[in-house]
Amino acid sequence: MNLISIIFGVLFYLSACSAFEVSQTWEISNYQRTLDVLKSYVKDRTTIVARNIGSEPSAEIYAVVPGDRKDLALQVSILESPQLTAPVLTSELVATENGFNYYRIDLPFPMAPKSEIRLMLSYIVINQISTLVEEDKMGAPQYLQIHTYKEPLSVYETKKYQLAIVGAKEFNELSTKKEGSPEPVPSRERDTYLFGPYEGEYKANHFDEFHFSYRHDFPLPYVYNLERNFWVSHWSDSLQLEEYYELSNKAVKLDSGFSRVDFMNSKLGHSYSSVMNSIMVPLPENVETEGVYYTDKVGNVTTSAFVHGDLLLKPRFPIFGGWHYNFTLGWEHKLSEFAHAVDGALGEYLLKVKLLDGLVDAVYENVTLSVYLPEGAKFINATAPFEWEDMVIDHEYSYLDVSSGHTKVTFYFSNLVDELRGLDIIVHYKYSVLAMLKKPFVTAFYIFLALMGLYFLRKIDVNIKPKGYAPNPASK
Amino acid sequence: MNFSSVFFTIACLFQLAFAIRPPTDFSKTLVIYDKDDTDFISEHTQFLSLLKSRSLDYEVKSTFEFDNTIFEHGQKLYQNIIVFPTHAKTIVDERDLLKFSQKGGNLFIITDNTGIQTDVAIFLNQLGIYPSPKGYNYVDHHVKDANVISEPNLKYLTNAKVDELAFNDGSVALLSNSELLIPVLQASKSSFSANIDDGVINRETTWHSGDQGFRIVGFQGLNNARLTWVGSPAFFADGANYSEDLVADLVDFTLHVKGSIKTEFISHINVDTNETSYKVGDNAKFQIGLSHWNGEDWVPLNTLEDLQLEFIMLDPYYRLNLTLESDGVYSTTFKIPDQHVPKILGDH
Amino acid sequence: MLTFYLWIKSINMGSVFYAALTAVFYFYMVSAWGGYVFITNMIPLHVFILLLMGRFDFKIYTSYTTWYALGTLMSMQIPFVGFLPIRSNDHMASLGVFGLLQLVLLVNYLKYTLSAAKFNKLMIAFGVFISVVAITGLVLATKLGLIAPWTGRFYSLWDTSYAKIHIPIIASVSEHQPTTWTSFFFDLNFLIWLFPVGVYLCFQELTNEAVFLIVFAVLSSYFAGVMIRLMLTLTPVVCVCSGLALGRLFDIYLDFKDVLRSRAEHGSKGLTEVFSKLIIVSTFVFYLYFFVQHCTWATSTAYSSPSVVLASRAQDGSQSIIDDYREAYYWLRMNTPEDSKVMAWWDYGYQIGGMADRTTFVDNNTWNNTHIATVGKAMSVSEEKSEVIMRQLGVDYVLVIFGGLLGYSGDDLNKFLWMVRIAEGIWPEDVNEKTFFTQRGEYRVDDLAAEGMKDSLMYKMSYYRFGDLFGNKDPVDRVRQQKLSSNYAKSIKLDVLEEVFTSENWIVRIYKLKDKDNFGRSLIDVGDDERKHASKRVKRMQTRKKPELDLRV
Repeated sequence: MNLISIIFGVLFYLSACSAFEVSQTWEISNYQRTLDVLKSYVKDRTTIVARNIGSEPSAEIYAVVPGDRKDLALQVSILESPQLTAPVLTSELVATENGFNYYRIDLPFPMAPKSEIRLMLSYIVINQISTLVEEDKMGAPQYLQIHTYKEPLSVYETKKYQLAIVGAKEFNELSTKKEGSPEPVPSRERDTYLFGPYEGEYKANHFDEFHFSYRHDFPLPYVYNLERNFWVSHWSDSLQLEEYYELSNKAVKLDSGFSRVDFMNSKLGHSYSSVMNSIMVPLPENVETEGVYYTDKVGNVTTSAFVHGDLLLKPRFPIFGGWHYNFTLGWEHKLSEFAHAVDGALGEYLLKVKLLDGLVDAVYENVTLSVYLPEGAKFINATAPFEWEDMVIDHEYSYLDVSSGHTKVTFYFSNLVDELRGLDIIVHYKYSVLAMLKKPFVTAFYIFLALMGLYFLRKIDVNIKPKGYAPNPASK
Repeated sequence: MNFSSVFFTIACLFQLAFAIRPPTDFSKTLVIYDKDDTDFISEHTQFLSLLKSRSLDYEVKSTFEFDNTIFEHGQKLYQNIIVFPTHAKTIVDERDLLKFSQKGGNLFIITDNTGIQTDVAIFLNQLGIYPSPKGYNYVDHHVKDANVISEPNLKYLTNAKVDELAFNDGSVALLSNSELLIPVLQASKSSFSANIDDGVINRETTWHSGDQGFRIVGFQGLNNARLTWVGSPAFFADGANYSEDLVADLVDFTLHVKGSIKTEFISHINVDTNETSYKVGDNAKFQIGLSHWNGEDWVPLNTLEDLQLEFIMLDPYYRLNLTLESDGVYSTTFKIPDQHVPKILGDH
Repeated sequence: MLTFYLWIKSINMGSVFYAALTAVFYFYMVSAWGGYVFITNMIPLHVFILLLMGRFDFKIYTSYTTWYALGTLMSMQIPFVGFLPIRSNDHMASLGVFGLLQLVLLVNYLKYTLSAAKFNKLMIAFGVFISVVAITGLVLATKLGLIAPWTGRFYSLWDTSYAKIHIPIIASVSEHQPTTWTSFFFDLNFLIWLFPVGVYLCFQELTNEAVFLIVFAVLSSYFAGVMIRLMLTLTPVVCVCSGLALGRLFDIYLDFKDVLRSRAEHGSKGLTEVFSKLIIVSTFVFYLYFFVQHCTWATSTAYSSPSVVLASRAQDGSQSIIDDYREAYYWLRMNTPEDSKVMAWWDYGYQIGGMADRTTFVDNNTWNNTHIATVGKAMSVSEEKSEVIMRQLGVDYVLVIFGGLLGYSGDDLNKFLWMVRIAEGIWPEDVNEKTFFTQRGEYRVDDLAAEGMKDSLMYKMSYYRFGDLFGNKDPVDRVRQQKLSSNYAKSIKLDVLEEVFTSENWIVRIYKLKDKDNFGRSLIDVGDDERKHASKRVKRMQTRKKPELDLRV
């Protein structure tokens, strides 16, 4: 974390007492937070048991999520209650102050005084992890650091809390020890470190800085831009996917130039380290995948292989921390497995495409997903599991387009992580038989015109000599 | 009280604090003194209050208190380090000192003739400063007291008028021909330094002779990290010897309180089309805005007369003088030549 | 070749239209290929020979003047050509023939109008006058610099060894090497011996076209003998001539009418004749078939294989692809700042520009010999001197090709002598080819390599840390088949450059020019100090020793 944020942290300390305040209608009787650092981003899951201490039933509760809002990848709140069928609750951002985001969560029904509810909040904030040292020798173990908060993050008073850190090998707390109060020491079970559970009076809006490091000998793949283009063709019954990745590795950088000798001698190419030697891309399951290709800006990359139905890409060079590698990946499916005609509406289809394929562990900063519907198709609507930043409908010309070009529906997303790969986007569009037949007819017509043109051209006499004039035979 | 208004005031204060800081916003400064010098703090109150007046966030540690680390996780813990004469076996490894300077840290090193700390000496040698080792004494038979320099001829970094400069236990340095060194105070022409143990004076036993010796030297690395070496601690101590103007100037230079130039902007435009793309033969206008730190603020720099622009392909094709156009803005107009990689280089 | 076809056609028909078309295609050639000069000289030569043969007529006059006027004007539109057509000697011939044609026309006209005696007198006076004017004009213009002096390319055409001695840059291109007999056969296969037959047939039937073919054949054979690249000009005429010869052959041997007739008269004799004819025909059919095979094979292996991707066969026969060039170029493209400048030998200029998208100092189209020589010098002098050159140039990265690990012979060390020679051409006092050979005149890269070699930047860049790859064994350079001793190989140091990338098989090695030392020390001194591993005690002693310094001024 850089200096400015430290200053902000200090600043916040001064003003913490007057932060976002709500009426103390709830009390947290148990607060359990789990930080999962197994991947290249932090998964934060908090389970709280809240008790209504007010005198009236309450249907809303507030939650706080730290981190810059632009880095927030996902935020879900779930009410754990056996009576409910749809446990995901709607939450609304009500304030963002000093790096904390305050959400109001609407409960499905008002909770009576003295009653308890159990809520689970989970969120992913990207760009939270940084390497402990910026540069290091090739093959050195990689230590990462995280700045977060230790005591309960809550706008309500808390009675009991525990914090578990999962996957933090060689955990080491770095936050400056506060004088006076004895520091809690975590108990350890393999790579899980557990603080607490502690009982006591934890004030509302009290944020206790927590800085720790851990060992993580894996790359931190980071995709700055991902363009996913789906081409729909009803004629050939195919759904083509082409993905363009701008990939980088946020792992520790090399402290000197890359030395091939050291790389070969240390056998880094064949061991787990912060270097990305290969990229594993699981192919969609249960559907046939054809015509896989893997290229980059200088042509075909020949080093890819199928391993147990997954695609194993080997980049041209090992990707060290701070290095970049752009590449294009594509394949083809049968359209009939993804698009279905809508019953009762002639020529209407529902197309289901994946939000993400690709890397097993990655953070995506910007994702542009485009669906190229056939020429003449009409876009009706689309649904996605969560909100997109923007959606644009326009037309783009491709081969043999005769009128306005392919209808292109583009969705813009930001801050995605690989965990969202299972989610689908459904595009509803209309593509009538007439539109389908239009293209071959128009194409045929143009070819006919061209042939006729050729025929007429041949009829034109371009001879500059008068008719009947025969040149003399060549002189010898 | 409403929270947002509180935040606003704090933010304002913070802004203000930021504005009076020197150019480098990170100003943590470490002052190291010898552990045997128990009265150091009480004897250097004037110097320390000078540091305070420059709004430097400083720590004073004896070599005993200092844990020999200036880096943590590859980041430097301090922006500036001031080292007073010490006999400690190690303070910071000389490679760390090099790294510290390489990363933009500033150093202020004061030595004397009672023996120079090894790390510091090796480091200074790397820079081309060779202070006289233990046992060499500064001798000048033409002056009464070698511990006082009367009317020192101070150059470059200071305009301070000093009548008598205390230079007790002064050491003297030889300098290499490095262009990065700035000799502030030269030894007098009639001086030499000799090893007192030997008793004879010859080539081997003298360190310097005449004005090839130097007593105060400044240094600015290519990355703008600065260093000052001073041959005697005498005029930093409280009392009559304290030479306020000189010390202030040296500190201001070394810790980047003054003498920093910053490029505000660089722009170029095609005069014929008003675009930033060029064809061969087009006229281009190049502008650069410069400002310097006057101790409190960045102000436009208007005093340069020798600023040049080069347009290079293998050899400089153009070398044009930039003229002052408006406050702090220098510019020139030229014709784009063919077959040149437009590497624009500002010389000064 | 359409140009030639149209030219012949226009000569035969005397048509302005075809001559104009010829000019158009000539223009196309000019815009596409530097070898257009060949055409520029071919056509006038043809006309000149026809003139000598007394075959001058108005058709030739019309065609030639039309072609010359139009063609020259059009070619001058190409920026690169510009005013060359009237200045350079390469184009002199066509200009001369153009003038000559005008003269001949004038003379013919005079011949008709004047009496024989008067005509003779006039002719002599006229001839002397013209030649004097022409020669003095030419000499004067050359001296005044109006006409370019004879270019090196021109000399190397006449004297194959000229280039080697005077302009190493031209000779360094493999395409400019004299052609060997094997390559003649490799490229042309059996056409090579059908070709003279065709030429002979042309002599038998001396039409204007045949004269053209003969001229073409003679010239191009000579040129092809001088430079491999000009094989390109030889091929069409070889094809045409062999076509002629084959055609004649089949004309004779496929003519069974005769046989059928004779067979009616004497039975058995006819049969053997048919048989022999069949044998010959089938031989030729076989030859033709084989030729097609050969061509396909030759083009697929020798010519079309892209030089950036190398194919190799493993011991088990499976093919593996060595893609080091693209690996390194893509690394450059992805992981260096966009405005960085790469120094490499000019052979890779286009590739770096195209694939790595980075600026180079010299590329395949660099005309400025000094630029190429500067790069050559930077590669062949010592680190210390090279640093100065590279800083002047503003080099960010240096790229070398090293095949020693894999046995890839097209690497920079094998081209190194050309770099040395080119640099020597401009800076003979700094670079000397002799210092790169051992005393016994060998080109060695191992422990016994010449001092100049060991000192050169290219050598160091190639072998830097090569020894570390082999553990304690002695590393072997598989291209030059020389063994370096392990200790020596490990002692090869590099201080001003930092290795930033080496491709998987070490073919491409990229170095970055280190930033100047922050403290003004020389990078080489810093490196030397570090290698000493001096203990602190030694260092302390050093601080007490008076340094050897120049006077500070």
